Amino acid sequence: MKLPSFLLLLAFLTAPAVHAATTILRGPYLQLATPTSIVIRWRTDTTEPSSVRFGLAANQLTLTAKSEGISTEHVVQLAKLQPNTRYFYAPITGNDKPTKPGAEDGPPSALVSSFVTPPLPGPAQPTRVWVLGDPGTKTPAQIAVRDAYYKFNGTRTTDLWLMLGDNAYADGTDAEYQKAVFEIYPSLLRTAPLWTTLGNHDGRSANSLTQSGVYYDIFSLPTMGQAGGVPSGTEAYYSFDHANIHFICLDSTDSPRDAEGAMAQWLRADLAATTRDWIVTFFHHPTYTKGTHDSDKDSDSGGRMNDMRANFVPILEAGGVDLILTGHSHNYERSHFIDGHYGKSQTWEQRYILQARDGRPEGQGAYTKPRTRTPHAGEISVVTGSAGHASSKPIPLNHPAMWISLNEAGSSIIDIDGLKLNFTFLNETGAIRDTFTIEKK
Amino acid sequence: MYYKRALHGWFLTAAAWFVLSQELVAHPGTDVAIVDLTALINASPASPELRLRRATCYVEHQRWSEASDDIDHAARLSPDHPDLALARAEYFLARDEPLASINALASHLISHPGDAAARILRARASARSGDTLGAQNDFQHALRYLPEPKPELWLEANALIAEPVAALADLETGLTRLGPVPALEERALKLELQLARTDSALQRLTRLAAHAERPETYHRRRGDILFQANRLTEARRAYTDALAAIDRLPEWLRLSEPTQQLIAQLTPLATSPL
Repeated sequence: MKLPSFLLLLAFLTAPAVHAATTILRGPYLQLATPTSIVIRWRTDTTEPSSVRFGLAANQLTLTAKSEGISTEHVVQLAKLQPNTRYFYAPITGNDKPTKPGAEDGPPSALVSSFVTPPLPGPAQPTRVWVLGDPGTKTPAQIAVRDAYYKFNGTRTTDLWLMLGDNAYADGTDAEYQKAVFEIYPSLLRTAPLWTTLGNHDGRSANSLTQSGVYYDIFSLPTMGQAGGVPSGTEAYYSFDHANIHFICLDSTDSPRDAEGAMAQWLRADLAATTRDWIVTFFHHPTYTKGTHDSDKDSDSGGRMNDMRANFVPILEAGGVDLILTGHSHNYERSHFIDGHYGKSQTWEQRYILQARDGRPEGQGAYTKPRTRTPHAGEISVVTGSAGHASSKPIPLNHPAMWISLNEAGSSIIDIDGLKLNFTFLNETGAIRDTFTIEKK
Repeated sequence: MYYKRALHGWFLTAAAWFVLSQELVAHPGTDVAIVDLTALINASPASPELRLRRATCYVEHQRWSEASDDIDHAARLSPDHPDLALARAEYFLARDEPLASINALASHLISHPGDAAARILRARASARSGDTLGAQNDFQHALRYLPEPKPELWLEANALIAEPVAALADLETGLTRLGPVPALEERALKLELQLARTDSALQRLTRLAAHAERPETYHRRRGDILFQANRLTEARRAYTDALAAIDRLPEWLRLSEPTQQLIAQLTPLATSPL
């Protein structure tokens, strides 16, 4: 076969199906959820207006939200919503009928999707968060990790989910995002808001300084404190509230990480401003790891792990952080209940462990913290970077800060109910491989 | 024959990508990335992108001659590649040769005047070479071209403005475009105090406090600024406001150790005779 014919055939076989009617190629997916608003995004194969029908029942989509102009990339904000309320919605496509994306895990009859708006910030409400580090490998392991969570979660609503970076390998291109994110998690993308941080692989197709590239094109993230917290002025790092939880996203990949830089100044102001019960921080590069990366090595990852540990962990601990979530190392490492260690593992001492137990109510007991926002009262640092796969090679997994280290593919689940936080690491087979609880009194 | 060779090359490259992507997925350090990129280049020697990516890794490792070789090779493969000028400019700037970096970007910026990344790079090179005006000019262009300039970039450009009033005006523009970003507001506040503009500084504190659910520390700072300006009655009122803000906090926050310490500091300041 001559090459042009071969390429034509290849293009024909691999191209998405083209229909006379508009086809949704991506999404819809939920972004920037606040108690009174949410952003719905999707991509179509033809340029057309961006409109969403929505309402309080699947058969009563009586309201319409639109954005200006015509596009294939649709970004529509639904505003004036009621907090903690289920809404049903469907993008309006060219023939004015809701259409269904070709999703491998979407129920076949799902023409209309739904979401629940976050509750008002402050009062406690049971909240489930799914945490995926380095998921975007497009491998069977990624699918298995996803399916294990779906089975574990059952019919319960996932309130929000976090991606800790390296969401689409190997270069974070648009095509890779399509395969590794949009075609893997379509049902959850339609029903639960996704919040993300930039990983080094995403950074290959994005530039934080100019806030351009695929990652910044795909996600709508808060810059003006519109979801809670202090305005950061950038999508690279931001914060948001959900019930009695304050989430903080930092950019360990591509933003300056000096202790007096703009990100650090914003972090101090943001921590000082919040009155939520729980503070959960997430970024890509781990502060302590002996997995597929080594936080002791200056050359590893351009010193980013050192920077985050030396410059940002002290700020976070002074601000009363409870949980630090990272990825990058393709394994699971969960720390003791610690405070005050900003050096390499050679400088580790037992005194950094504030409560030397397993953190399990059914074991040696949960970790406890005073509810009063006390600086340096202890936190758990979790590396959960195996949602795409675990390491195929032996790795040391011997950082002394860690209570448990596992070379297994999996994802993490945070359940917060009032003043109790339960954490679970679920491996790709669906086995619960680690749990801990923090209680505030 | 050509197609056969091309097809063979395509399969070789695809196979190499498949094998190596499994390794790249482990995103090793830069040193290992060089090894991986080298294998990819061997499988796909006609790719200028791979050469430029490896050049970036070599620059990070300060392996100058290898970086230069890769950039030269990429230039031979694709003389008009849009990333060539930037790669060269980054290479020279990393070597602390700012003038060479500026030269490397000259023709690129004539043909691509709106390339914000190239403008930023040349601004940095100009600043390094002592050409502050040139740097300011390029930064201003970059900030204008970018729909959402980052706070860090605004601060970097602003740091080149020596005259405080002009620097303040520039920060005000930044705050209008980016919103009430703490780092910009804090720098502006510092400049206001430097210029002894107490009331303007206080207005900035008010703006900072507006986004905090816990404004007590801003009230305290307000009191300190007024105290420094010898406006003692207002200072005492600000300290009293801080105590009132603490009173409004939920009990669990009011009883926290830092808040108790703050109360202990504020009480005498709010009640001492003038």
